[in-house]
Amino acid sequence: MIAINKLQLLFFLSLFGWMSCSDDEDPVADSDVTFAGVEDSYTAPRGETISVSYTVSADDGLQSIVVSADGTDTPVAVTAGTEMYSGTIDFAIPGASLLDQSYTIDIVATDVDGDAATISTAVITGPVLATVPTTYEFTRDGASTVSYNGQNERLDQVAEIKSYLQTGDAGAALSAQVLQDAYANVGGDGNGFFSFSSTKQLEDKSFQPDLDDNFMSDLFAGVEAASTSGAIAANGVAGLIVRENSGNTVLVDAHGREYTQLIEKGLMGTVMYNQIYNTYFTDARIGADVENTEFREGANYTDMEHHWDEAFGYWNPPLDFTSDWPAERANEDRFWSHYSNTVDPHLRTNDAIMQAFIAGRAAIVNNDHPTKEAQRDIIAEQLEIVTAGVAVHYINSSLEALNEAKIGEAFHVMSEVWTFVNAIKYNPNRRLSIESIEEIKESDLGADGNFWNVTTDGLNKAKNTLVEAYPELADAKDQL
Amino acid sequence: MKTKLIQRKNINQIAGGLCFLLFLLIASCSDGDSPAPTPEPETNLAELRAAIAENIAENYIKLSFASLKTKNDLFIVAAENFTGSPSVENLNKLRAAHKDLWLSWQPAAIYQMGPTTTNALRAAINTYPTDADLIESNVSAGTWTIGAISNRAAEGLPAVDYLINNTTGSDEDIIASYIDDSARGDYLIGLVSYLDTKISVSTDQWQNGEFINAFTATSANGTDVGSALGMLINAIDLHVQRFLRDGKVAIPSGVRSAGIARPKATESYYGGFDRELLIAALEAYEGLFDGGGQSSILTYLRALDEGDLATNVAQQIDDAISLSNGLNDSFAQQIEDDNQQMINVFMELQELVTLIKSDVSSVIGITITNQDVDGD
Repeated sequence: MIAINKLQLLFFLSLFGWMSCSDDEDPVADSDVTFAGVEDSYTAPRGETISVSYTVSADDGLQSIVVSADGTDTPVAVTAGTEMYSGTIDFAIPGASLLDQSYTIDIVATDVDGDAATISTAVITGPVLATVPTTYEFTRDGASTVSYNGQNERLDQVAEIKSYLQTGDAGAALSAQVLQDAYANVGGDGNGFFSFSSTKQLEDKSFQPDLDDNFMSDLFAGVEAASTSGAIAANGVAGLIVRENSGNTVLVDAHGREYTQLIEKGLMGTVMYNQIYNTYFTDARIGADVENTEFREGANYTDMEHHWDEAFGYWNPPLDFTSDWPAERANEDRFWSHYSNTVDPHLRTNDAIMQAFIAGRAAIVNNDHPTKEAQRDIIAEQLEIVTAGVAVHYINSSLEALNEAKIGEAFHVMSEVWTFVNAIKYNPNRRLSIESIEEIKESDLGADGNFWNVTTDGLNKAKNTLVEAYPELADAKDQL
Repeated sequence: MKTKLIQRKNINQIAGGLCFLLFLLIASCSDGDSPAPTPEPETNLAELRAAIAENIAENYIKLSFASLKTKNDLFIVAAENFTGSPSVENLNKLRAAHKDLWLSWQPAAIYQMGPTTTNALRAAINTYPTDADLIESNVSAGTWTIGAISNRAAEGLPAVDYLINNTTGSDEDIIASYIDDSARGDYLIGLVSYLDTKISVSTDQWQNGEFINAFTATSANGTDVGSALGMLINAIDLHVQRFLRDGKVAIPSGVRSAGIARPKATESYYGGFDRELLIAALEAYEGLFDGGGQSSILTYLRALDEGDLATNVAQQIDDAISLSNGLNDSFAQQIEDDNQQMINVFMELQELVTLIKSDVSSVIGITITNQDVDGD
């Protein structure tokens, strides 16, 4: 937004006056002082210096020239009586200047008779990046300014935790303490759990109400008990259940919910999704007051750029991610970007989210807050559409599994429905109410939160609830 | 069987030889009025696809489900008559109604999509092998939850099969078991009522619901996964593999269990009319592909200048029917007598799966989305 200030008012008035003066047929056009060579406006990116060249002519000889740049008056040394003077004004656009922010330069020339004339011009802050890149690659002086190693490391931690849980699905005994140490990354390697060292942890990035409710630690305790009981899962009994398609077993709780899914997708929600919405998309991290001029110490990026990159890091797609992502590169998307790709053929979320991340990052480089905020809002909305779309996708899979009378397969995909619907609650501007989220988790997926009580009516009801809240899903609700 | 495999390969390669000549003979007989060998323009093909969807919806899907509902209503009456008054006559009437209903499910079962999936109708009607122990423990406990997934293997037509056809005793013994313990009749009626609910809801939706209306809408006349043809070919692919080939033949004959046969995993283990159920399913396919003189999948293949493939598909179904006709009524008996004949039928069905899954789908341009992998 351009602030209208006194200077600009002056600029407009002066311009009007100058234009009148320069008009030959204007009856009052008899000034003795005239300007040449000054453009209506000049545009350059923030931090750069603009040179404004001008020539002043005065038939009777010049007395004085004063340049007023952004309110600061500077007299120009001119020999009295000179009929023509050429000069250059160097104006440095401040590094903190916002995109489209305008600065006024007035040149006031007075002749020896005391006749004065003024010319005004505007220096406008243009974009640093005139075109938005097609991939998430941003550089300064040839070096990348994009960094989200902490997010990569946390995602790698989730992947290794999942691998451990899968040994339990195959029959090995699991330890709650091992999982807790991994979650808190004790000793920088999860107390010997991880294959790599990192200063980052998952637990301190988890949604605080989940920590209050022992969301993860209860699951860790439960999966240890289920993995060591030797029980075959049944209604009310946690243990192993066979997934009919592969013949492999998975561990489920007493309500049929699969631990590996609840923990892996639970971390996708309580850490990744939560961090995007409740940390990185807040004004505290990317609002207009966040540093976006000076670089972070030892880095070539600003705080705001880095915060946006960290949100991107929790989505974690390939840098050239697009819709219609080729199957041969399917292993390059991870976690949330992977699930965007799952629904992309119907919802085109890869392009929608990727382009918004790129455009928002470019807007930050350009110090363009309205564009950045608009892109943030697009991402926030589209990520939720992915989440709801994936939930509908797995409801369809659940119905297919039930139609084939495959309980293990049904519980697996119902566990996914549970976790994706649960994740919606982390968006502070969610379209689905907390009550609807709870209803799906605790009733539609089986009375009393028990998958063993599931009915097709309950699943179809959950699907309708989601499609009503997200009309974007309506056309593809049966194909998802 | 071996000859046939070679034949198909030769057709595909347009190679010479006796088999090819044989093929020409067949093709010229059955393809007398085939169109000129230039592919149809796309607009005509889109119209043809719309006509196929219309024909299949009106003359196959809706009629199959109407018949299913009619047989279901007769089955309810027979079950109520029998439990109200257990007698040999009423038992036999119930057996006949039960078999009629099961046979009427075979053509309807092809459509593994839409209301059938959203109501899990297939599982409700035809989950087998049935769990006789669970049925008995339900009856002796006198309490059960019909519709709960943990009870699924003790429900549906195979469970009724056990309850009315269990051959461990005479018919009089069966009747006595209902007279002695009313819980048995209550359980039977519970199963029948649940089936009625599922069949009624699904049939209503199939006759005039969102799905079938979308299926015949002009917007569904493409070949993408959401098109009528896309959904139909995927539904058929699922049914042919999992329920026709595997459920009815491959699993009981041991093809899926290291060659160790599982005679108790046959469809009507107690009633012993597996052959009729299989042939009803195959004949349903024969009719569906042919289209009854109207637009059909085979008509479409010919319009794509794929008359050879159309002939092959029809011939393959015929061959499977011919070979199945030689099987015992009871597949459990057939497995015991000569399991190789079951395996031979499996191989015919495997050929049919390949034709549909690979050839038909790729020629039409349909992406097969069914997957058997865990994924994540």
